Amino acid sequence: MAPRAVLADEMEQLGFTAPAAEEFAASARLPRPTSRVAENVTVITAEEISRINAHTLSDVLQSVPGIELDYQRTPSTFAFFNIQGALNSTVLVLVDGVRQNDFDQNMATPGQIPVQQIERIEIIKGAASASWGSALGGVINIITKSPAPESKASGMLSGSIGSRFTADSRAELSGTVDRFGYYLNAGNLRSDGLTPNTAADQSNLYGKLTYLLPSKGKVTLGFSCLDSHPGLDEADTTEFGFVHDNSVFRRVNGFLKFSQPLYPHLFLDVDGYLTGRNDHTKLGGRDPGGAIAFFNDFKLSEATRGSNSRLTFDDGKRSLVTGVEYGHVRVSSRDLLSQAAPFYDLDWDSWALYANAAYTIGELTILPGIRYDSTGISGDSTSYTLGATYRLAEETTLRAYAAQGYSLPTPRAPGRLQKIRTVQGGIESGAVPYLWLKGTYFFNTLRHSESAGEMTITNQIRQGFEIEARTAPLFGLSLVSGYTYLYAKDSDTGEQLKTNSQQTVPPHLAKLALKYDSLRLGVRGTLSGNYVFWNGSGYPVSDRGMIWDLHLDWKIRPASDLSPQLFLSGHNLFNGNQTVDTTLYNTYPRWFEGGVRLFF
Amino acid sequence: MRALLLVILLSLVSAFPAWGADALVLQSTRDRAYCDAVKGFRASFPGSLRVVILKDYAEVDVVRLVQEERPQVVLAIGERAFSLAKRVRDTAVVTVLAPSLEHLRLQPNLTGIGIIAAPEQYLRLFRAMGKKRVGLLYDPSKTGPYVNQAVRMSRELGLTLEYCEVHSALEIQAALARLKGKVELLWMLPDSTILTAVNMEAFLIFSMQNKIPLVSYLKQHLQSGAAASLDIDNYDTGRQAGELSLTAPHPANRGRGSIVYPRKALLHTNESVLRKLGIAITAP
Repeated sequence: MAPRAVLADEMEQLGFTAPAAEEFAASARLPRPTSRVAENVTVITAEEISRINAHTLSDVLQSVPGIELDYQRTPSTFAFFNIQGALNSTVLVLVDGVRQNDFDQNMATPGQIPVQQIERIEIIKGAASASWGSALGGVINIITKSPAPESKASGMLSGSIGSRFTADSRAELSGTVDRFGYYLNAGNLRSDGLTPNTAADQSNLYGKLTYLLPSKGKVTLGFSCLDSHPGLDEADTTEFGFVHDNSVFRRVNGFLKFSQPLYPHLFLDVDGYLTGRNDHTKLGGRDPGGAIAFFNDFKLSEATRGSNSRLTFDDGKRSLVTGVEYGHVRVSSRDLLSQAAPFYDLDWDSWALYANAAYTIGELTILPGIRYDSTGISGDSTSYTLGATYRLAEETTLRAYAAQGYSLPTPRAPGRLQKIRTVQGGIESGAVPYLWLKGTYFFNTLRHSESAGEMTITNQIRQGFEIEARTAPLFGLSLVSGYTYLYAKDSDTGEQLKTNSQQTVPPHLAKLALKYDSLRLGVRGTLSGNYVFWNGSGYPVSDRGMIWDLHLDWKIRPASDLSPQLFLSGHNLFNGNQTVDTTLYNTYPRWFEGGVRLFF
Repeated sequence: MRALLLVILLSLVSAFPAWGADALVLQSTRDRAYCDAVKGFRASFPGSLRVVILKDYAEVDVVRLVQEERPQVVLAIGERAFSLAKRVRDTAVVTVLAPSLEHLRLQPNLTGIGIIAAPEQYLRLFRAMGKKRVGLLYDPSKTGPYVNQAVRMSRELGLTLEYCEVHSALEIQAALARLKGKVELLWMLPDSTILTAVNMEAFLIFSMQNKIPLVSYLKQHLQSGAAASLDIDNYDTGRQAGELSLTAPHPANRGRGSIVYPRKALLHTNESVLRKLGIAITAP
C-alpha cells in the first residue's frame, strides 16, 4: 500500500532508545539477515520507488549502482540494461516467482513492468543459477504488495501529467476481511512521445487474493494483464524511411500458490503458473505513391505453464530449501505478411531439482547450493554455489561466494548453454559513525559465446569493483552514492572490450543522490545524478554530461496517514545525453511532470 | 570439482531439522532497552525462545514465520515489531515498548504493556510533591486514552488536571501560554506529537520561568532541568510480559485486546532543582 508513516523511530524520538544506525538491506531466496547473504544484493522498497516517482521498472533500475540503462526515452518504451556488463538477456526477471523474460531473445523489458504494485525488488548482481536456473548475469526478483492487514478497504488514487501529455493514472484497493485478503491495482501510462517514434500507451491490471486456511496454510491467487503500445524499439529511424504503427504487446500472467506449515520450522510451498505473451511488431515505409505500406508484421507468441514445489526448513541457525521445478514452454515467431515458414515453432518441457542451505556457526555462515537443470532445449546443466559470510563486528560483515551460472540459448540461435563462473568478495559496514559503506570485488569468466541469440558475444573476462556509501541524515539531508569500475576483455584475444551493438561494458559508472526528508513538514526530495563512461570509441555512443533528475513530494497534512500528497519531477535537467547509439536512440530532453496521490 | 561438490552436498545434508520454540520474540533493533526486555522475558517465561532481530532483515514475513515456528506466543518489542505482529491473527501476541500501543484499538489476540507508568503512580507522586494543580499537554490521537484515565483518577485523588489538546508541534507554545499561572507542576508525557527537541526546550523554559517543577517519564531529562521522572523498568517490563504470556488471551476470544500498565516505575529526582523550588517529596 501507500507509504504509511510507520514511526519506527518513535521510540528513538521519545528518548526510550538510542539513535539507530542505518538499516541494512538483505535478500536471498530465503529471507535472511544481511550477515547471512553472500551475494552482492540490493533491495529497493516501495517507499524508494515512490520517492523517485518511478513509472516502470526502468526508472528504478537506473537508480541502482552497477546497473545502467542503454538509454532513457518515453516511460514504458523499450529500454535495455546491463548489470556490471552482463546483458539483460542473461538477467532473470521474476514477478512473484513468474519469469518475465521472453524466450525469443531471453529479454525482459523493464519498461513493460509497472511499479505501483511492487512491495520490494531484490537485485542479485552476479550468477545465481544454483538457486534460480537460467540467471547468468543476476536476478531481479520482484515481490508484489500483499493485502492491507489492518483494514477492510483502503487504497490510493494518483494522477500525474507532464511534458508531451505524459500521463500516469493509478488506482489501488486493498484490504482484509477475516481470512480473506485482496489487493487490486490498475493503471494507465501514456505519452505523445518524448523522443521520436516513442508515443506510448500502456494499461495494466494486477490482482492478488489470499485466503488463510484453518490449517494455518495460505492460498494466494494472482493475476496480471498488460496491454502496451510501446512505440518502436529502434526509434530515431526517420533517415531510414521506417515508420511504425501499432506495435502491440500483450501479457497475461496468473499464479496459484499454496503454503502450508508441516512441522515447526518445516514449510511446504506448491506454486503453479500460467503465462501468455502475444507481441506484434510492424515495420513499414512509404510506397512509391507516398502511402504507408507495411513490410513486416512480426508476431511472437509464447505460452508457458509450470510448477515449483519446495520444502523449507529454517530454525534461524540452519536453513534448507529443496525443490523441484517443472515447466512447459510453447513458442512461435513468424512474419504474418510473409508466406515463408515461421522462424520457429517449438515446444519443450524442462525440469529442475535444487537445494540451497545456510548453516550458521557463531559469526560464520556457510551458504552452499546446487541445482540440476534439464533445460529441454539445450541439454542439462548442474550449477553450484558456495558462499560464506563472517560477522566481524555488530555492523561489519565480510562476504564471499563462488558460483557457476548459465543462460539459455534462444530458439533463433539454438546451441550450447552460455556459462559463467563468478567469484565475488566484499565488506559491508556501518562501523564508521554516520556512514554506511559497502565494497564488492567481482570476477566473471564467460564461456560458450555462440549461444547468445542474435548477438555475438565473445568469451570474456569481466572484473571490477563496486563501492556504495550512504550517510546518516543531518538536518534531514543524506547522501547516497555508488561507483562501479568494470574491466571487460576478450579472453581469447586479451583486448579490452568496448561498448557496441553487441555488448554494453561501461568501465565507469557512478550514481549520486542527495535526499531530503522532513517528517515535520511532510516534504521529501531527491536530487539524483547518473554518470556513465561507455568506452565506445568508433561506435556512436554518447556519454555527454550527467543526467540530473529532481523529485519532490509534499504531504499536505504531515501528521496524517491519509493526507493528500503532491509531487513534482524534473527529468534530465541539464539535457545530458547517455546512449549506446546516437543514430537510433537518444535520451529524452528535459521534461517535467507533476501530480497528486490521494489515500483512503 | 568433485571435492567442492562433496562439500556442498555435506553442507546441505547438515541442515537437519530441530524443534520449534515456545515463544517467538520479534525484536525491532539491538537497542539496550529492547535487550533488557528480552532478558526479563527469559527470566519469567518458562519455555524456549527464538529471537528475530528485525533490523537485520529488509523484509520479514511474520505471518509465515509464526506458521513455521508455531509458538505459543509472539512477543513484539518495539514499534516495528508491533507493526508487523499486528498481522498475526491466530496466535497470542504480547507487545512491549511500542508507543502506538497506547492509542490503538487492539484485535482480540493482542495484548501488551504500555510505555508509561500508571496514571495513579504519577498522581501520587504529584501529591507527594505537594502539588495539586497539574498542567499537561497531549495529542488525543496519541495519548488520549491514557489522559482520560488520568483525569478520572485525579478527581479521586483530589488533584486538578489542566490539560490542553494539541494536534501539532506548532501549537505547543500557545498551549503552554494557556497554562501560565494556572498550574503548580508540568507533567510531560511520551507523546511524539509534542515531544521534539525544540519543544523539549520549551517545556524546560516554561518550568524555569514559572518556577514550577517539570515531571518527566525519562531519567535523562533530569540533566536538562526536569525535577523528577518516573521511568519504566525495561527488564521488569520483560518479566511482566513473560508472566502475561502465560495468561495471554486466546486468539479465538471475542472483543478487543487490552493493555496493562508497567507494574514497576523507578523514581528519579533532581535534588538541585527540587531544592531551588523548595519541594520535598514525602512518602506517596
